[in-house]
Amino acid sequence: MSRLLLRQPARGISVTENCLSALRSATVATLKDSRQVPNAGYQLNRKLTKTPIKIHHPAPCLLPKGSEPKQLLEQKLISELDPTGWRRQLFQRSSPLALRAGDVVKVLFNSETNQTFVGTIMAIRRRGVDTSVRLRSEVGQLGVEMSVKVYSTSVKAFEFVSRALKKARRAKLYYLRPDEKKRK
Amino acid sequence: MVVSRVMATQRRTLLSSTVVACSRRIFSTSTSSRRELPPLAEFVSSFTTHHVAEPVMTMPTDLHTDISTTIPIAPADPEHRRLKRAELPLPVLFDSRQAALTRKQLPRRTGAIAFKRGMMSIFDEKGARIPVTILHIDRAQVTYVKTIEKHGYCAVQVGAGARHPKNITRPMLGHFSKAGVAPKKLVQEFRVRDESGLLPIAHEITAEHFKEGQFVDIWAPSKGKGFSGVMKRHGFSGLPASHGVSVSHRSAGSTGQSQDPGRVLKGKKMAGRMGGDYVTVQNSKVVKIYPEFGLVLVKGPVPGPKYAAVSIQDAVKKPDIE
Repeated sequence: MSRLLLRQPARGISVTENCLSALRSATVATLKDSRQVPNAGYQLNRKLTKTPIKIHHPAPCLLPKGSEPKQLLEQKLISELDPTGWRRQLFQRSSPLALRAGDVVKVLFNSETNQTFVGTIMAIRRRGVDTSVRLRSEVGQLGVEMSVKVYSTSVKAFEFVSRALKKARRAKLYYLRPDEKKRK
Repeated sequence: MVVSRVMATQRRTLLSSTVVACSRRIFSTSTSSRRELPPLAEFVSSFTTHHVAEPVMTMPTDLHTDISTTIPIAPADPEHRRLKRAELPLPVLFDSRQAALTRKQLPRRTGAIAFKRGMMSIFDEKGARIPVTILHIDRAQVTYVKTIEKHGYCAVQVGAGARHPKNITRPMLGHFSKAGVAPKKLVQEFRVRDESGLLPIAHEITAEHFKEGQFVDIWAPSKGKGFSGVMKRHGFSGLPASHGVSVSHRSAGSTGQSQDPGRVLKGKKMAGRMGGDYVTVQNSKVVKIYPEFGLVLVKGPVPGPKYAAVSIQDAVKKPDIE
């Protein structure tokens, strides 16, 4: 005697209209209410949820997808700190006015005494907002090195003094430092 | 003989019937003095109330009465019931939960869950460089609220991030549905001082919840360092690199004394798993806020790796905000 295997409609979790587009199929969170036992000819009904669960659609993320907040903020900050763009002109690699290792440069500071420093560029450390320049100068017989944050508000201007006589064959000129063994 | 047996049985039945009749007479109430008996709970409570009620009904003194009627029965008055412990006029004990709540040092406002998104630097008006950590408050919403009446303390449960419903358990889906929020990636509780710090459910906590220049406490699990040696984990100096030291340059060396105590003491610093435990950084300054991106820039480092969730709340050791 065969019995009809009745398949009850799956009791699923009802979703709000907004969420339907997000969920691809109704099987995202559906219940198997009836369990068919083969060769038995009957079914078991289980009521797992009395009321359907509404799933709300999430609000969009404030950060655009795939973006890094550091990049977004740096772009913003640089445009604020360098509105005319002269710093970017001097220190971006691709710029025609770009400074290079070996050039002599004069830095003017935003201090009461209008402090200045003249020196050879030993190294340009490019890190976005954190870009800095290492300058070396011989004040009498004393060597002085100074690291200057390019986008700092304490830096008023960079004045280009002269280009290197011979193009430096490397980016970082730490060899300009005197040999300590020779001094002894 | 048969007749006598019949007689005997008849006599027995007669006797039994008379015995039954007697019992009925002794233990049953007469119809004239029959009354409704009170329910058992009320009957029992009549012994435990402070107020001793006067007997409403007079007791019949004859033998043919119920034993229960000899005891006075209090009237059914809702006022006269057993008092709960909280209603008793007792002083609040120093060791009680009530007193502990008044001593607890907590921020007034709730906190938020943020995701650590790296570090960068900012320059202030004077030109000084401030290293900052970028924290992203991603769709933080209140999912539940805990109160003193129901839970014994005040707290706000916050959920942040977003997760696909297929990856969330059914009980949690129901929890989020009840709150009226989308399924969250992370859920955490923030204790607040009292009911004034509680927020409505589904209220969104944005970056504007924090003010520029305020101080915050940040806590998160630190970066895991795995099974690390004694030099990294406890700052031991190790052994010399040469001069005959064999194979134990980074070891701990001795682990104790000699015959006394004759064992390694409990808590001896040894190699083991390092990191992955909660670290709180107190009094971090909020340097800048970008509400359009939901970003909070906080001075200095923050525990945990990049993209991990951290908890921020108003600093406990600083004055209240607004």
